[in-house]
Amino acid sequence: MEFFRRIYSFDYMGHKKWWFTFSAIIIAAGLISLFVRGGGNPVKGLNYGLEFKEGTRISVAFEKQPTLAEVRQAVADAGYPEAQLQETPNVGGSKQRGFQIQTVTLSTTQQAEFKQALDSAFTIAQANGAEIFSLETVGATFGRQVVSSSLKAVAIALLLILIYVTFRFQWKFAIGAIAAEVHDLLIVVGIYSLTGREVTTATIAAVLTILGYSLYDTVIVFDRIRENQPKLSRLPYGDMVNVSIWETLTRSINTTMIVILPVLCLLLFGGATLKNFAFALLVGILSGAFSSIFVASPILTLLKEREPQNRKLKLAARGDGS
Amino acid sequence: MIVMAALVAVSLYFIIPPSVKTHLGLDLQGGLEIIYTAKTADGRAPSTAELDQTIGILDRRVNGLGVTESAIQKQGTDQISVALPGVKDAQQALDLIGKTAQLEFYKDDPQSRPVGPVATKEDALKQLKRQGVSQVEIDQLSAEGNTDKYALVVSPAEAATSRPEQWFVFKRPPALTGDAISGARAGFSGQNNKPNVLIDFTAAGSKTFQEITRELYRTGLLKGTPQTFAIVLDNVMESDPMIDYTDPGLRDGISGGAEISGGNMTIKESQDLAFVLKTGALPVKLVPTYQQQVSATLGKDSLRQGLIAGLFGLGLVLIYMLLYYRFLGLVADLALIVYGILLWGLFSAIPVTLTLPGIAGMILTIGVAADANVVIFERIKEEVRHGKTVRSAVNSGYARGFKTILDANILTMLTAAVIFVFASASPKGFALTLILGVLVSMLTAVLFTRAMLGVLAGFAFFSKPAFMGVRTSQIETVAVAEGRTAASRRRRTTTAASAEGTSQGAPVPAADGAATVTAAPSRGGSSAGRRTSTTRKKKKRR
Repeated sequence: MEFFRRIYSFDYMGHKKWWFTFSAIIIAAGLISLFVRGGGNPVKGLNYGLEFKEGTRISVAFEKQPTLAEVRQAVADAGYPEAQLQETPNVGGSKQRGFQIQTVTLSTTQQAEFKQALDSAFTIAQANGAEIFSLETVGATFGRQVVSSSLKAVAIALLLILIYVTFRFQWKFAIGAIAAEVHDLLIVVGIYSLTGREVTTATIAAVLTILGYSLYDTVIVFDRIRENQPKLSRLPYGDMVNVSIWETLTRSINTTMIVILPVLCLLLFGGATLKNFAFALLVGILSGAFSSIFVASPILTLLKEREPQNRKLKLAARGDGS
Repeated sequence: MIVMAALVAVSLYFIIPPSVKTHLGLDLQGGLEIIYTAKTADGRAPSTAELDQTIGILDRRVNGLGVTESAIQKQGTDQISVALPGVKDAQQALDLIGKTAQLEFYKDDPQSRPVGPVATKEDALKQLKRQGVSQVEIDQLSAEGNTDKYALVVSPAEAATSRPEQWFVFKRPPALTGDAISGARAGFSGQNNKPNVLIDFTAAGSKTFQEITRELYRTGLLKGTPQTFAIVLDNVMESDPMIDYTDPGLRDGISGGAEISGGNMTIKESQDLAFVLKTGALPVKLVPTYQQQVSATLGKDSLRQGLIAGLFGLGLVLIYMLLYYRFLGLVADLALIVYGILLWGLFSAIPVTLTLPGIAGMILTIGVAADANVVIFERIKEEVRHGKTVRSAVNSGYARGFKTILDANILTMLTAAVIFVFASASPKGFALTLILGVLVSMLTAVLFTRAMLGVLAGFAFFSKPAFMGVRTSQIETVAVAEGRTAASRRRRTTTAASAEGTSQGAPVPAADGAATVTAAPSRGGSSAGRRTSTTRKKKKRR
């Protein structure tokens, strides 16, 4: 109980260094992981899904319930001894036990032949009159295009956010907001690298969304700071920011909770694609809630305290004691 | 009230026609999606006109397959995505759609055919190199099959006559191209009753064809050996008919049409060939770069899981709002339900394809829509604590809260718009639902929540602060900010170990117990935050 009362009166701005250290440690861990896993190239330090690699992936369930070894043998017999196989309890989201087979890129004819080979070996299972068989093929350039177009989107989104926040607030607010954004992105990417989770196009969509949504809490706090500034002009800037955070803390917590609830449901009940999506969103939303108070606001305070009148106030607050 | 009535009418309008079904993407109903990268014959990037023409032809082919709701779209500068939801025979679709179907007629004489027949591709290229063709051109020919000057053509092995595979190089341009074709149909050869394809020429094409054959007849007569010409489809020699110079009937060349009777065509193959020839040749070569084939079962499962997750998410948010905001929570819940109906109605009313990432986007917007209510309600509660009457608190709280929401939502939509414009396929669907969701949520906040609060504020029972979870003891007559200031000052003085006098009025305990001096390390993050909210809830209920 005491603890909860304290978070509504805690001197957040006075402990800037702690927050920065905390964030820096997590981000550094992620970056190190990116560099180590990528062998020096951070772009390669992620576990990219098939969409980013060249090849064909088949998800299939069989009537005859063969073992992994039997399927591996059949795949090798069909001419693909180097294929990667994986058993899944519910193939492609269905209730059936099945397999994921990843091969080199198959041409249309090869696909048909391979499917035929699998069908004659184990009989492809059916559900509701349709075969449980799905196939995905990706060419060499597709992944590169997705990544490059996404990087372009991130750069443009950051620029627009910078312009909008500068226009609605002030450039110092914009710097705080952008710092929070970059912080959130680095955390999500770092966690994906650390956990080795598969990065798919859904992940990228989620990361891009985080860019937009993680500012929600930051805007709530900034809005209050903007409103409190004239009212509490006699306070040192950091204290005024503290007051603003205290006043908006409940709604920051509630908005975060309310968005996390459905995202958690996605994580629990969604199929593979949705789960993937939800995980990235979850990390991003948590990081966004954190960064609104512990990154965006402290950076704004740092910048603002350098202004002459704010510096005077700060010195006065200190000077009174000496 | 008028606004509310209008809103209800609007939502009813959207929901009532149940015949309009939501368009499901192929990841939800099964089907085939292919993304092609377009290349011109000589490896140049295709022009916009060429891409548009290609899309037109693809559209005709897809319609010929009987796929409804197909979507063919340009992506970037050189890609075309083809989505065929619910397609039954994926294999056939793959075979037919992307076929260039570039039909070419070459004269089969040494002048038009610098190389061939030889046994392998390498031999063909080597021979061409010996004729003084540059390595650059050879490499391009090897990779693309065509250059400005040459075409590499293969004649597949024929089992019936045990003729092995043969390779040729023909000189471009061909004597006649697919442009000269006006129609094609599958039939049977008069000679051996095997399936073939009959080609009809346009007027101009017919004339050129007659000239070619007449010339071949004369050359054959002069040299005393029969001459042939080659019919080549996408660098594969389909047939090489001979012009019999001993047949005087051919003196004036062949008029009318031509026949393709490649070796052992099956009936199905001849029908497919006639189909692609009829729909026209693509001006570009299409290389599949991405292909996804989803079975109908998998799609249905994904949809069900998405809907379950969505309903659970909505349910949890409804409960959370009700527990935390009590009566106001009820208003918010109603608003959320209206929001859900509106969004679903919108998706039925406009031709938007709902995809799996789209569902994720929708579920996320449930949270965003509820967020708007949280911000407004917290603001109203704050105003009530400041001592305002409930009615005026509702008005000013709504106005101020909405300003915050506007900024936050504009930023979300801004990013979503950037994703929509710049990102590729899957993120696009997500971005679109996010934009629509945020727009509808704003609409709900403006029209529904505001109207509800306005109406309720008029009732006497509503004016009790407890109705929105504000304790009477929390209501202050002194401005909260002043008290906060004092508290903040006091903390400062403690840290600085000084005895600074408070100049801003007596320290009044602030609403949330802000006056406590603290030295406890914060655990930070929202795990702490989550616990906070539950405790605060308890505190208020007492």
